[in-house]
Amino acid sequence: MKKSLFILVGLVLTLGLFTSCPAYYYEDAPVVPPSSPTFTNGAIQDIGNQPPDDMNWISPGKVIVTNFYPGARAEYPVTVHNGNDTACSFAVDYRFPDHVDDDFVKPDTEVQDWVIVADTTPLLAPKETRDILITLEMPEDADVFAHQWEFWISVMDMSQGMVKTELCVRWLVTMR
Amino acid sequence: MRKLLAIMLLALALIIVPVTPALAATEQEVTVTGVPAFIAISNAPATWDINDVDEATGKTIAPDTLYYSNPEGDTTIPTVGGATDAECRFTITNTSTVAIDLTVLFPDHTGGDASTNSETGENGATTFGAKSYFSGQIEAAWVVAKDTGSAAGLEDLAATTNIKWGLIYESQSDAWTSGDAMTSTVTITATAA
Repeated sequence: MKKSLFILVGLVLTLGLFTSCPAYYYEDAPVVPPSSPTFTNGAIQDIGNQPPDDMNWISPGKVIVTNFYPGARAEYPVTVHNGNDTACSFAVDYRFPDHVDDDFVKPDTEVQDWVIVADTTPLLAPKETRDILITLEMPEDADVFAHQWEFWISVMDMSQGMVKTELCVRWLVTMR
Repeated sequence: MRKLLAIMLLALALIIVPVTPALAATEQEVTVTGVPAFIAISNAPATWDINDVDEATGKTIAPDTLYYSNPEGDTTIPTVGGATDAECRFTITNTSTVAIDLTVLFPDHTGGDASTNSETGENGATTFGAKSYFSGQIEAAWVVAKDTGSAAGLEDLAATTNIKWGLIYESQSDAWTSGDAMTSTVTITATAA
């Protein structure tokens, strides 16, 4: 009986050591993304007045990221619609913003390396709508250059003439 | 037996106490929220041959000259007290579901003299000046169209509201040297306001 109890105590103590170590490690060095991002998707579902089928459009207009920090990752898709009667190639890319929201600053140049576009040159069939995943992944050793910063995701129909239209999603990032 | 129970309780307490900071740390999760909206614009026409430049007809662009994409004449300045629809070559059809900002970029030319954007709105030697104007805007509101980083030419255009607009181009102050055609692809960008 005593032997069993000693084994049990030993197990409990060992478990205790295992479960407590990561907690202290995390406190001292928050290098591992601790949680999945929370999505509040529904850009299309929430709005009834979708643009005409024969127009190019994107959604959403803005992506707001909060509590971001070095080592964290955030994902959100951009929905792209091809309003043309023919298949069209689009360019989907990170875009340095021309101007930013109040209280936000333009990003450092390395931010472009933190943004991953799942498909930068999607070929969309006529009237096709497609989600393209955008991932923002800040390296663990990156400097926090500002508390609030903004970058854009550009979507451009590559079949246009010399005066082109570009549709952009604004990503507004607030650090912890 | 009591001693053992006490040890077990202490061990359990050791498990629970160190975990508390980890639970606290995850309270502030990264949140990612997409603001529901559609951004949708189209523009027509998609070209502007400045001064109707055409090799066949011999029509050219003079250096050190202001040109406007004004259907009433490429050297006719739009009304400084507020450009009219009739003075705007381009039409933006806007079916966005939220208010938008419009920003115009006029990159450096390629080909020919490869004139570059001065980024000031004024011309210079080998550099051109460029601005955008929107219907209803007074001259003071016409915004410099830069190669990159232009300010918004029009802010808070209401959802599903169309707008007419135009370009101003001031050719480089010094004479052309190549005599060959050069081109630039202008971009008008829509973002949620």
